[in-house]
Amino acid sequence: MRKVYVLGVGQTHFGKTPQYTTYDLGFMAAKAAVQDAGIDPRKIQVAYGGHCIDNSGAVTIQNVMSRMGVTNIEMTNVFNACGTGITATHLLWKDIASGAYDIGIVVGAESMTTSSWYGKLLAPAKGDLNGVLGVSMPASVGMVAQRLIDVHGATPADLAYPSVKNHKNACLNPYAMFKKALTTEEILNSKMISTPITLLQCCPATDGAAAVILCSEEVARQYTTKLVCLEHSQLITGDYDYPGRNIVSDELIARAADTAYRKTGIDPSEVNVVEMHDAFSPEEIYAYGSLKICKDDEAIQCMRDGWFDLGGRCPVNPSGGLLALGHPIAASGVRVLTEIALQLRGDAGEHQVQGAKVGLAQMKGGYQTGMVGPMSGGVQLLTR
Amino acid sequence: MERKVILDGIIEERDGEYFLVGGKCKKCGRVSYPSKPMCVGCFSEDVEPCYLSKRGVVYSYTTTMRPTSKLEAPCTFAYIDLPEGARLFTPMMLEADEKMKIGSEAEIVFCDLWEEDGEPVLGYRFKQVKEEGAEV
Repeated sequence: MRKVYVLGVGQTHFGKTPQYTTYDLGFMAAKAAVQDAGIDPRKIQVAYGGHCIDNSGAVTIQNVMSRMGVTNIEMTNVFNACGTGITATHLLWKDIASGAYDIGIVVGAESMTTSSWYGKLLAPAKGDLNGVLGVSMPASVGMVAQRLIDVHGATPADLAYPSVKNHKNACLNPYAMFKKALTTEEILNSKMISTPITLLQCCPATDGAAAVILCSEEVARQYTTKLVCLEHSQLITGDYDYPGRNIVSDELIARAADTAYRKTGIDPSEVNVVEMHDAFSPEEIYAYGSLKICKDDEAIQCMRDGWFDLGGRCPVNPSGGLLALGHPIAASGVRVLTEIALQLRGDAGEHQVQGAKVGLAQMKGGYQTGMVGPMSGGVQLLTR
Repeated sequence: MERKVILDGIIEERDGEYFLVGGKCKKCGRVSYPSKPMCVGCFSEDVEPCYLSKRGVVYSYTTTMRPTSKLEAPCTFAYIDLPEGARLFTPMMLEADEKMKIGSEAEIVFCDLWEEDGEPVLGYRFKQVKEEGAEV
């Protein structure tokens, strides 16, 4: 396998922009990534796209690339729940690593405000037993959060903390949907959605897109001296839930992270910055241990000690995360990679993690009766 | 069974009593709910229907404030671990001011959950079993 490098990244402003289609948003992000890379778009040899829940057609990447004069190359659209974007970047990583292609692009885009899902709680597919009974993503995470309180000693304020932190971080990110710092009280006193999760512990429905250009070392050296390497990408899928597993441990993501660390020789203690799925505030808390940036049973204390704040030992979601930057579903799995690349290049602006050399991007999603989640997800390790 | 059920094949009536139906692998003994055509443990296709225990333990719970199914909101849901090893998601049946508790014992109550085309639809809820001697 060859080393794979991040040559260019781009994203749109995240927010509510119903005047743009998914294709429009994808084009904006792709154009930004091409400009960031400083390449002629016709150099691109392969392209992946993704959209997840919007109502547009099924040819996102073809539409986006044709607007840049790129046609007649291999193009594939990916659909994989909240893991759509990270799945698409994973496929491109494999193409470059294997030597099949030397340079390619991935674009994740979503217009959620124009989707038929807009304003509803995301739920499993029709005919899924738990879905028929009324499970929703907030309910499913609500049950994890309740165990965090009753079994693991978290307080309601602990559950709100990632939301406090990420809203504070988003104030420093020009692309963020929400730029307003929130107090613990404001978060806990907001409308209850599914106990113990309140509205301000839920990510918003967001429009936006992100794009990444990956390439071989030879190509990267022609265009940049700021080499950021995507050392390893590891995808996982859900597993049967029998016998009853500990839903607080996120063991599938832990397995993906373990594999990524083993394949790269990177020790978890070397990770300087993490961007990850925080659709609901409590999700961060059990992910810290799963990603090995602290010990599982010390996650709550480490969080209270500020380990994951900007300026802390290993900042998590310096961008503002899904909670405050926003969560255009298919874009988010690409966007975590764009953010880590910017952080490692030292180009993240006001929310820069000083001196970051090793970064981790994670995204996950999906729900199905009889399975322990996530249904799709991945972990990627990057270095400079 | 002639009655409309929330999902085909999950509830069976015998001698006037309802049972929750899972699938038990005849080869390795693993039980799944709802039943799957192939055993998720050993991939044998020799899976037979089996009646599940009517009592289990509350693994976790949440109260959802907006309607997410045909059930009225707010609605308390729980994961219940059955002795057979299956974990099921269920709406709860709570008395006024009753608190949920992880680890408490809960029992299935077969009941109509909603109507479709004017016909009642059979499903189930679980209710927490009160400890003996506990004040109501």
